[in-house]
Amino acid sequence: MTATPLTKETADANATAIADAAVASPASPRRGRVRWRGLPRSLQAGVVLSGVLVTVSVAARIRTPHSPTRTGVGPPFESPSSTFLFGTDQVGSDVFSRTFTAGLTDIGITLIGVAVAFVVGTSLGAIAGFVGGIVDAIAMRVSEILQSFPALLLAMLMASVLGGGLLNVVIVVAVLGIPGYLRLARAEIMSKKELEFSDAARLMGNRPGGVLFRHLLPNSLAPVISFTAINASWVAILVSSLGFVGVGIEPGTPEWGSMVASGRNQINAWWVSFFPGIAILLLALALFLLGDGVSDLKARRKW
Amino acid sequence: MTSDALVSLPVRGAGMATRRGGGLRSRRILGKLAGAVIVVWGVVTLTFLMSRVVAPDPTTLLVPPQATQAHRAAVRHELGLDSSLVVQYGHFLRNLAHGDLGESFSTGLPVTKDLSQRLPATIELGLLALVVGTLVGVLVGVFAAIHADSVIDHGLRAVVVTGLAMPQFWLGLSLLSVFFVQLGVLPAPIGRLPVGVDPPPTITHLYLVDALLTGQWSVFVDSLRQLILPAATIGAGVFSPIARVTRTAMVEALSSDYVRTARSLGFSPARVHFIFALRNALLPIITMTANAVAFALSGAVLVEGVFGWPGIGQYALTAIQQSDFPGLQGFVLYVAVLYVLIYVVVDILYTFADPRLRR
Amino acid sequence: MVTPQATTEPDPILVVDGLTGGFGRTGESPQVLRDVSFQIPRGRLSAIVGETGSGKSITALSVIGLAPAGFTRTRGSIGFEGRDLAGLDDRQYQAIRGSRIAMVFQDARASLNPTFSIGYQLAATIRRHTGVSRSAARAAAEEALVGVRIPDVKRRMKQYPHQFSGGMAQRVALALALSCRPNLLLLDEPTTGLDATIQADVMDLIVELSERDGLSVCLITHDLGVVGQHCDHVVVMRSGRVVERADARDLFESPRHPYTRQLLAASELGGHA
Repeated sequence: MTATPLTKETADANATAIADAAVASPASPRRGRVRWRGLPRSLQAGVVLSGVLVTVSVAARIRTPHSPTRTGVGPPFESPSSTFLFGTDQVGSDVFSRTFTAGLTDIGITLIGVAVAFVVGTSLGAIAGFVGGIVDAIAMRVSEILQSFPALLLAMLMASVLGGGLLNVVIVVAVLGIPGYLRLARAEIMSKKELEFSDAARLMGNRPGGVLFRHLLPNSLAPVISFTAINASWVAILVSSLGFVGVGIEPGTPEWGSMVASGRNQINAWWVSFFPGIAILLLALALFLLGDGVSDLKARRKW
Repeated sequence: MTSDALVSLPVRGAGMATRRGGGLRSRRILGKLAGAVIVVWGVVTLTFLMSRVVAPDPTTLLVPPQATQAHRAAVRHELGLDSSLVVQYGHFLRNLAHGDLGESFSTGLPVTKDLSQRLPATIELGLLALVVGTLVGVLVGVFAAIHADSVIDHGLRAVVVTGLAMPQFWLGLSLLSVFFVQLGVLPAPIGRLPVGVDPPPTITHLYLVDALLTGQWSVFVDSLRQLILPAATIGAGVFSPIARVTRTAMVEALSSDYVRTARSLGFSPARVHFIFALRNALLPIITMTANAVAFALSGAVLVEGVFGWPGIGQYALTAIQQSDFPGLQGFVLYVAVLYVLIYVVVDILYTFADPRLRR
Repeated sequence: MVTPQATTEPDPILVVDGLTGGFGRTGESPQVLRDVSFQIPRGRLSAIVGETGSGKSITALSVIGLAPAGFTRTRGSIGFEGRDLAGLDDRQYQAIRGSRIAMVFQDARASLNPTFSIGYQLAATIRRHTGVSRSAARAAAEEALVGVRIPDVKRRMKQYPHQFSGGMAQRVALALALSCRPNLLLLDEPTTGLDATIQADVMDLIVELSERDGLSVCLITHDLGVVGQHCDHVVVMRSGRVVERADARDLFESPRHPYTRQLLAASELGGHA
C-alpha cells in the first residue's frame, strides 16, 4: 500500500487549476479559487477532456510506438492488433501514432485561429460599435457578406488563393471567425456605450480610446468569452473538414480530417477513418463543453 | 443568446436573429431587402475576385495537355480571360443581369442548366432531413424541458451535445461502415438510385414523390433506401441545435405565469405544453430552423460528397477543385439568394409567432 | 397548537383539514405546511393572511392542485363540494380546475398568454369545460368581458395582453377565471402592483360579483387593509401553521394571537374595522 495515491483529490486539484485559468476574470479575485465541486458538470467534463487531449497530444510529440510519418511500418490496411493498436492505413503507416501526433496540429490550428479571430474581431467590433456611423456600416456589411457564404466553400476558396501550408490554414480560419466576434463585441459595446460608467470615464478626462479599451471593452467581454469556446468547437470541425477535402495541409502530414479522408475509399478498413474521427469529435466536444460550462456558471438550468 | 447555438451549424445565420419591434413592417422589410441586395452583390463580387486569383489555370481543363501556347491563348481569349479584371467584371455583371451565368468549364453546359439539374437531388435530400430533424428535435426538446433535470433530460443532453460536436463527413462514413459494409442492410453510396433502376417519370423531380404519384412502389423503396443514410447524417446536424434551443426556450416558457394560468384553467398537460407553452418558445426555434434550412438546402457539401449524391453541394465542391469559375459563381449566387429568401420568410414568420412584433 | 375557535360555518364551501407537507421526497425536509385546517364560508369573501413564506400561497396552490413540483403532501384532506380533492387523479382535477375552482394570480399581465388573443384564451377555456360551439364560446367570452366591465368588448377580444393596462389585464384575468362560472375563486395578491384607485375598482368589482352570483372568494394576501375593508372571515398563517381563524370584525377588534397583533400593528390598522 505504498504506491503513490493517485487519488481523485490530486486529479481534482490539478483540474481546478485549469478551471481557474479557464474561468479567469468572471470569478471575483478576492474569493480565491473556484471550488471544483461547485462547478457545473459540463465545465468539469470540458476541463478534464481538454486536459487529457492536450496531454496525450504533447506526449505523442515526444514518443510514439511507430514513426507517424514513415510509410510501410507494417502491411497496408492491417486491422487493429497489439502491434498496431488502431491498425494501419493504405500506405502501411501506423494509425495509432498518426492519430496522436495529429493532435497538436488540429488543436494548434484551432486555438491559434480562434485567438487571432478573437483579438482582431473583438477589437474591430469594439471600434465599430464605439465609433458608429460609416465605419460601423461598412464593418457590418462586410461581416454579413462573409457570413452569408457557405463557410467551408469560402475557406476552400481562400485556401486555394493563399496556397497550402499550416499558416495559411490558420489565416483562413481566423478570417472566417472574425465576423462572429465583431458582431458580438459591437452589440455589447453599443449597449454599454450609453451607460453611466462610460460617461463617468469620459468626464474624468479619459480620451475616447481610453474609454473604449480601458473601461468599455473589459466590461463587455463576458459574453464574448463564452462564445469563444463554443466557436472554437465549430472551428475544430472546420479545420478537419478542410483536411478532409485536402485543402491547405500538405499530403502526408498527420491531420485528423485528412486521415479520415484517406480511409474513405477503403471503407472495409473502418479503422483508418474511425479513430481520427473520434479524435475530432472529442476535441469539438471538449471545447463545446468548456463554452457551455462557462455560460452554465451564469445561468443554471441550461442545456 | 442565439449566437452560441448557431455556430454548431456549418452555416452561420446572416444575422437572422432580428431585433424586435421598430418601424412599419413593410418599410422594415424593404430596408432589409435593400441590405440583402448589397450582401448578395458583395458575395458575388467577392467570389469573382477570389476565383480570378485562384492559382490553377482553368484552360488546362479545356485543352489537351499537348496543346500549343497559341491554342491556349485562343481558348483564354474565347473565355474572355485575357481582358482586364475590370472588363471581365463588367461583362460578368451584364450577363448576370440577363440571368446568364455562363457555361461551366468542367461540364461545358450552361451553369443554370447544371444547377437546375442537380437542385432536385439536393432538395429531396435536404427536405427529408429537415422535416425529420426538425420534428424530432422539437419533440425531444419539449420532452426534455418537461422532464428538466431528470435522468432522461441529462441523457438527452449528452446525445445532443455529442451531435453538435460530430463532424458530418465522419458521421456519414461511420453510418456507411455500419449499415452498408458491416450489416449490409442499406445500399452503397452511389447516389439517388441503385445501378440499373430508372428514375420514375418526371413530375416534381423528387424521386420519392414521383414514384408514389406514378405508383412505382419498388422505385419508391429503392430511392428511400438510398436516402436513409445521407438524410440521417444531415438530419443529425439539424436535430441537435433545434433540440437544444427548443429545450432552453421551453424550460423558460414552462416556468412562466401564463403556463400556470393555463393549468389553473384545467387544460390538459398536452395542450399546455404543445399549444400554450410551445407557441411562446417559437421564436428561437424559427431562427434555428431557418439556419437549418439554409444548411440543408445549400447542399451539405461534404455529406453529398461522401454519399456520391448528385446535388449542388457536390457540384460546388468539384467547381472549386477544378477552378470552374462560372459553376462556382452560379452556386454562390444561388446560396446568397436562398439566404435572402429565408431572411424575408423568417421575418414574416416572426410576426405570426409573436403578436408583440406586429405593428 | 392552534387554538380552536368557534367559527364553524353551517355550510362551508371548502374544508381543509390537517393539511401537512413539504419538500424533498418524503415531504419532511423542509416541512412547509403543518396541520393546516380551516374552512371557507360559502358565498362570501374570506382571506388567508400571512407574510411571505407563511405557507399561504402553497396552501392555495394545493387547493387547486398546482403545488410546485417538489412539494409532497403527506397528510390531510381538502373537502370541496362533498369530495376530497386530495384524492383526485390528474384528469379529475383538470375537470374541476377552471370550472368549479378558479384562481387569479398575482401580476395579471404576466399570467395572460402573450401569444394568443384575449378572445381566443377566453373561448378556449369556455370550450374546454362546456364543449359548446365556437360561436357560442365567443359569445360567452364577450359576455365574460362585459361582466368584468371592460368597455369596447368586440375590439378588445382581438387584442393581445401587451395591449392592456395593468388594471384592464387584471379584469381580463378575472373574466378568464370566472368564464366557466366556478363556485370558488382564489385570488393571489389581487391588488399588488396596481394604483390605489384601480385597486379599489378591482376590489369593488370582486365584491359585486360575489354578491351577484353567490360566488365564494378567498383572497391570499399580506395586505390587511384590503382584508379589513372587504372580508368576512380571516385565516392567519405563520411558518406553515394556522395561528388564528376568526370573523374579520372580531379579529380586527380583538386579535387573540400575538402574531396577529403584530401584523395589525405593522399595518397600522389595529382597532379599525
